[in-house]
Amino acid sequence: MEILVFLSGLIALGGIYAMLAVALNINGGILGLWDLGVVGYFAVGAYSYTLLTIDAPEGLGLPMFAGVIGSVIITGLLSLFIGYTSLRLQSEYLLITTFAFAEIIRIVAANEEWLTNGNIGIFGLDKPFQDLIPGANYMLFFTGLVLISLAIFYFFAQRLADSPMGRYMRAIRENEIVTQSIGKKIFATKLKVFVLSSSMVGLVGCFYVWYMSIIAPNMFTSAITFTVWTALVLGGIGNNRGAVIGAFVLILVQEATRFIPVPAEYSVVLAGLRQFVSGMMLILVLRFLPQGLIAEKFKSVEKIFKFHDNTIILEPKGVGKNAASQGAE
Amino acid sequence: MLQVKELSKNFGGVQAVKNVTLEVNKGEIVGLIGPNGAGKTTLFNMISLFLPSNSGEINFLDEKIDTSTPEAVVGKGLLRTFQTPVGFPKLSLLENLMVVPPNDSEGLFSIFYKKKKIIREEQEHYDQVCGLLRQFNLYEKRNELAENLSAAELKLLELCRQLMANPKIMLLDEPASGVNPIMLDKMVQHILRLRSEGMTFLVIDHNLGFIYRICDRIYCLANGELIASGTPQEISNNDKVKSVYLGAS
Repeated sequence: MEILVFLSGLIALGGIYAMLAVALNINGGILGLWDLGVVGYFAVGAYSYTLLTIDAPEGLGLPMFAGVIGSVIITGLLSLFIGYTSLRLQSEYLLITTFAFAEIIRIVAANEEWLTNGNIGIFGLDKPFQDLIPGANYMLFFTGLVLISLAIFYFFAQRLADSPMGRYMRAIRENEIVTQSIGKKIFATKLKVFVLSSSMVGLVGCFYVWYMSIIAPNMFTSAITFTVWTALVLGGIGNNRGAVIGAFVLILVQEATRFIPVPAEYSVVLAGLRQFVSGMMLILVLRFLPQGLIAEKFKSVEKIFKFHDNTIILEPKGVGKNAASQGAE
Repeated sequence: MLQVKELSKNFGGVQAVKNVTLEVNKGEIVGLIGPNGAGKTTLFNMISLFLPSNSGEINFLDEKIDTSTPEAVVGKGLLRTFQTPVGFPKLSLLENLMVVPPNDSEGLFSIFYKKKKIIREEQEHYDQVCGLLRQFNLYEKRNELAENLSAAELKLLELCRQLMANPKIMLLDEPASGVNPIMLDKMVQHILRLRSEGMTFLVIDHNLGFIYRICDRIYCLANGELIASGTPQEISNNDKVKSVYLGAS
């Protein structure tokens, strides 16, 4: 039983990271924004959920679902501000700006003690449906909850990627100037997608609070951003299935290093080994499978919408050839 | 149709384009030639509003457009191609073209609540794209990624993509560079066919044979200034053009 609870905890953590990776994939993988601010929106989501739901005087004491909705809205508004100010920047410049925003958010959380209780954080936070499910089984239930919402995230992201919007997003990733030359409003689109992806990250923040049942600024270091990006690159950037698999593989491998039997004095070394392992995995994948474990797959619109071609053949020269090829199909 | 008046641009101390005035009438193919660094592409970038001009005026369809945005100008029907055609390398030919039409379904959630409308729209665009690809003999490759095309095919794809946006005038930036003679013949045929259907062109190229073949009128730029204009005949006999461009004295 204990091992089952431990394993389900592991899967829940993997699921949380997988949700982050799917959300980041919309933004960083399909649209191609180099966004290093993931942990910032994550922290804002988590903190706003906590502050909305805990009892007065610290919080507003709202019910849980209102807290979740509120946290998504607050994260969305904040990312609207961040996106509006920084999305005109290109690649590296955007990367460093979003990274800076994430750091600012963490430092604000650490220092504004009246709001967040500073570095001590807030303890003993409630989890959803805690009263209904007895202690030991709760983790299993929670894992189920995480997996269900991961499935919803995945479904949503996959639909989006297959839609005309997904194609448009990939076009922006491939060539921004050409996209502009065919009359598309790139900045507005980027902002829209950026806010969507960040709000999704904010929502995952609530799950993280439930999982940890505490909240403190040191939970939101840039290590999370890098883990999510590593998971995405590992699994296959631009590919939702890759994002999910990458996240699970990375988390499971990292956690598996806990089981290496070593004398107590080496435990610090072992903690460092976890970083080493994920770094090594990244290098190996980039060397041997540069597109990730699952490469971004090209799907033809003909397959997605089951189109058949009913154009009239215009050039007499092409008639024989086209007719032949259609016959072959 | 397109009038450019006294257009100037400087990058710091470099005067890239100096008081250029030119005009393109409906149905014409107008050439723009000049040595490397003459400011041809800068002029294109200004006309398509990718670059703000320092002074001067651009009129398109009797409307002043120089304070407008690149997107708005495309909406009016002014399209440009690029010197190095890359398109969208990791998108298939179909996708390369289907992304062009202004799409109602380009909302984040529209695929969930108006799926039927999107499919209908997509089918329309798909038919249009297939027709276009057939005209340009690219139909067989419709599901290939654009990065697998040859340079000449990419030039054709570039042309197709801009055609999808219903242009009234097309600015072609070196459509003939890197294209082999047989493909060049086809390119000429396509351009002349489009012109006979009412399209207007402004073409930059270094291949003078190509330019002389298709153009009604030619402007010659050197060091940012217009040094000559006229019919192909006049340009080919112009001493100034010969000296700056062909190096003859």
